[in-house]
Amino acid sequence: MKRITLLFFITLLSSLVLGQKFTISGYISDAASGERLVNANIYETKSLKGTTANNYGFYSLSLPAGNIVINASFIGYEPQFLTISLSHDTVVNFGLKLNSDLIDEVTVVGTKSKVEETQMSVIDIPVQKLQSLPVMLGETDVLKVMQLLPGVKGGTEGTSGIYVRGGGPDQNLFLLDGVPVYNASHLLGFFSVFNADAIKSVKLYKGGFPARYGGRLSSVIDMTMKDGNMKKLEGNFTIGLIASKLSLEGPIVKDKTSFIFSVRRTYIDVLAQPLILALNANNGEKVKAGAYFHDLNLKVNHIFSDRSRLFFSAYHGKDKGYMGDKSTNKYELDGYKVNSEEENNMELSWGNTIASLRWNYLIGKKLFSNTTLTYSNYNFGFGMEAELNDLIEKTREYNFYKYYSGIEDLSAKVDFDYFPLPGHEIKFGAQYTHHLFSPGVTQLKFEDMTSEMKNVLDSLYGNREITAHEMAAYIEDDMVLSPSLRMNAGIHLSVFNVQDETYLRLQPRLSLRYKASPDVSIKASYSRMAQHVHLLTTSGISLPTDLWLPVTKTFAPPISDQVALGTAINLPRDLTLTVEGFYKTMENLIEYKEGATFVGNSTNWESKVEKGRGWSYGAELMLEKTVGKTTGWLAYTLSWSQRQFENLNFGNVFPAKYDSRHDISIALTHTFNKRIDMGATWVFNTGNAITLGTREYLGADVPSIHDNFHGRPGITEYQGRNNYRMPPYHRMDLGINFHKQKKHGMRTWNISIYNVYSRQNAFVLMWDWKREMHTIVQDGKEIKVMGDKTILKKFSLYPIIPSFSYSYKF
Amino acid sequence: MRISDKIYCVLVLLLFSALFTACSTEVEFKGEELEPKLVVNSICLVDSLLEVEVSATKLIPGFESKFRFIPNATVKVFVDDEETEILQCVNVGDSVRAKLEDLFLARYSGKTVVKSGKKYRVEVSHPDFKHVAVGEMIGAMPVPIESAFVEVVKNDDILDNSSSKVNASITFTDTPDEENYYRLYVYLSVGEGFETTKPNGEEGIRVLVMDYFVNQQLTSSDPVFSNNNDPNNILGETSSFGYTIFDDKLLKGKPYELSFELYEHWAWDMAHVDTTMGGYYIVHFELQSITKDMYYYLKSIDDSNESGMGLFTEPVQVYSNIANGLGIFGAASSSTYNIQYGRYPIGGVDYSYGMISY
Repeated sequence: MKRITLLFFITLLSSLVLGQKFTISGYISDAASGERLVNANIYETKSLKGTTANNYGFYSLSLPAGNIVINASFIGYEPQFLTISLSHDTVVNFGLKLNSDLIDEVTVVGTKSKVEETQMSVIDIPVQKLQSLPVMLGETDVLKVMQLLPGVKGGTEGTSGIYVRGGGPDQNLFLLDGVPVYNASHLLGFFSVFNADAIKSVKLYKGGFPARYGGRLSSVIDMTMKDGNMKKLEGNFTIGLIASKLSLEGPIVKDKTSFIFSVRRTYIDVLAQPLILALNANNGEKVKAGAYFHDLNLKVNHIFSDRSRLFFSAYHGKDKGYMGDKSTNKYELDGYKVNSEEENNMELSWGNTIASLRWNYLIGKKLFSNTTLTYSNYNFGFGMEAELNDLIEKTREYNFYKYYSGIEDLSAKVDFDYFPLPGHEIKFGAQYTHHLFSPGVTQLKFEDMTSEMKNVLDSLYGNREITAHEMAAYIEDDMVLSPSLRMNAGIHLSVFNVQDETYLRLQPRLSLRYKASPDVSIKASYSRMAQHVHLLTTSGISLPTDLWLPVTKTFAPPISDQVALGTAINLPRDLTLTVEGFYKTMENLIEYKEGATFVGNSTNWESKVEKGRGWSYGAELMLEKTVGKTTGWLAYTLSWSQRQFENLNFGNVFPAKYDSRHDISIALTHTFNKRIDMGATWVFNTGNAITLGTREYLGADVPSIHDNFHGRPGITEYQGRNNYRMPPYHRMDLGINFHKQKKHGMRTWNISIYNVYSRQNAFVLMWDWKREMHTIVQDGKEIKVMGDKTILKKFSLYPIIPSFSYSYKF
Repeated sequence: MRISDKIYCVLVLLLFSALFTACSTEVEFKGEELEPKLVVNSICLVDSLLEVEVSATKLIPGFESKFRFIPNATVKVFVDDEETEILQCVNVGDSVRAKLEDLFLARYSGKTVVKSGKKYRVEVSHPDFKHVAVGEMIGAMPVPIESAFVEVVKNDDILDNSSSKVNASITFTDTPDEENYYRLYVYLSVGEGFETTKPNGEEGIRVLVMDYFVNQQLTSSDPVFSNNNDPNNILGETSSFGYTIFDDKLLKGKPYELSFELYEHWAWDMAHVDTTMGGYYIVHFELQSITKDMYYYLKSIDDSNESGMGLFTEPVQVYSNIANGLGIFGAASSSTYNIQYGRYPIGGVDYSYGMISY
């Protein structure tokens, strides 16, 4: 470690003392909307020295004095060349124009190629291509596209979260404009909380993490919301089968202040309610039932000057499922009168609310600062109430049960991007976060009232709120060591204080890229990550009931160490091949004890969990084409993910629930012409690991002096945790878009088919019984008898689902 | 309902059916070839005969519905690593207990009596099974109950008898420098007297004797039971468990008064014992010092019963210490203490037995 630090400083100092150079800096934006372009490339054409714009479109490049030509480019835009005579520090802002002939061209206009990048294990999600990929029920989804990437696995249908390189669902840091989002799923994972209409860029890190990121073991998904059009008012609305959405963006003060606003809501509940009422019309019950989600994104920004800009962004989303009935019983039987009213209600809801206030300030030509205040809240609640009023006896029974949990963060951070010299991009910063955990509280109310007496219970059970303080600081430098060797080295320091216990974790990060030839690079990386929150998830099914918890005195922060080695190769026909191998260890993981569930809090949650470790390893391959009429990728992952807990599975190693040996995915989009494009995806995964009892046996009698007995229990033998594999999962989706230019905008019809060949993928496997004739031998003769046969049944959720949507962009 | 409403309903129903109706289909079980395993169960009381039950596992998929007993197995016993005898099958499915339980058993025994501190091994083989099942254990040492206490707290308010309870405790000294595991067992015998007329016409007293066995009615907030807290019990900090087992992590070889409550419904019977009519009660306390493997077995059985088969829980694997097989080989060493109120037996009183409650 000391040697790396020494090398870092020697390289930096040697660069500082070299010849006279000047700085070109500025922003790279979309010329039409003023939207800053994240990760746009800029380089000097002769020396090929260049850099990448940061998350706010800012770049800074130091070059020798003289006449130079610089090129600014971004995928989907016409590259711009500018000749300047560099004799002093210069500010140049680029406004790139969308390439209107992109469809017919095969010009290479990608972001920095994978061969060039220092980082490995990082993937830019092509947001602009999302619309062309098949969508489920008319909803474009960032997470669904992410699940098609190598090293990333989705849960089963109906489950939430993504699983990266053998990590758990809590080991992914979703950042929306720099704010962590704790639950990324709507409607049990069918939709993500990220509205594609409001997203500008998405970057997934699976390993080789830059030092600026911390807090999760397995991945970082860094998403940036659009800033809003600075030039003119634009909008887009989509009407789908079960959801509709609207986006509006435009200037409040032209070229100074802009906004973007997006809102979505499903309406399954509204559509279904008349049917539910009709079905129950004859039995005197008023029944209501439904489920929906809604979310909205808002971002406002104001440019004070070229040096100063302020952003406010917010997201609010909520899922709700509810069921209830109300009935009146009024009759007389054998002289006995009944007159009562009964009402039952049940509700399940969860949601995120996040907000951030960010101030970009350009301190100098080479120093860009970003100061941010953030708020993030996730909560889950489940409630039931039942009320029975006897109108004759004048009695009332009332039962109420509510369970809720949540997490709330308040954070302040400051980040700097420093561009001292060509070949050095230094990022450093610090952050403080105040966490408030409500790990699970049960509220119970019972009221039993008659005219003579009243029994009332009103109590809270469960865990008290826990406060924690988290601080982090980092520094990293992306440096050019030689024309063929680049290195990104850094260190991330985190301090977490909870329950009078302080955890300090030093996390070194290193990525190396060696360019063996113009088209081949070899990369290696090492990163240590620490995580200060746990997500307790039941292994039977993934639901929003999963519980966010802090590390405690008993349960120290999980730590992962990951090494990766890989190569990136530019192939003919604009293909890029990346192959990576990784090995990751994870310490201090937690899981529910066998038999424990999320409900119930007679004891502290710590009594429900066990501590252990895990490790995963594998190889990933991705063949990608990013330009031309046909784009897409083929991804294959071969991996293993295992866990070992002292008190689970008798201490034996067991596969993680989402351990998957083979994952294959294909995503293709093809543009026929300006009016028609289509997309297709196909995925194949080895089945998930589940715990399935396969044998039964008799238990023992437990004697006592008094010689009584309780009977022998029938015991199911599980041959180890996660001992059985579900059938393989595979599915194909197709989608086609028909665009038409109208007077005021562009109309698009989308037709999608989810699960084209209606594969019945297993959601859950269970033993069941059926009556069947079978042959037995009795007294030496074979006879046929009817018997109960135990069979294995799979339950599948979603067959083929065609859908369509209509959208209009104006 | 109007026609248009009906059409609307059907359309929405179809949409819902397509989207969210889970369909189920039978799938082939693709587990490894699951040959039956020998199941060896033996939990013996110290100073009692060593008895071993031998049965076989049954595969869940298929038609097999009953457990198989294995009457012709070879059951070898080793004491302190020396083979001492081969147990004989003495019970094949026709015992009273077997009939009560509707089970077929193959119970093996011989002359071996389990003693504290001795090491026992059983090796069970049978030609139908590939492997010899082996169990090992060391006979547990007894830990005497030094004293016991019972107090009936009764609320006579017939509308609110929920505060009636029976407080109890036992005192014992944990053996130092050893890992010890315990099982607490309590049962109540109550005699309720009635005036009766004997066949010869004389007036007399008849006492109806009820035996109450504790199975799942013991509750306690004593910290030694904290390991047993049902994690899904939402109604309080007390434990409710079937086997009332605990370890000695908090006892540290010192005298300890273990407090608990007996089943609250006993309070009524105990409080209304009329000693003038021959009534009485005896609370029998039994503290078993059990082997570590037996503790883990009982705890996992208890956890398994609590967890059920919900989608929200990971199934509990029941502990076994039988190598190459399944089951449990363990021992318990009991010490007892009785607290009696009233006289029993009394000469000339007619006692009626046989009422048992669990």
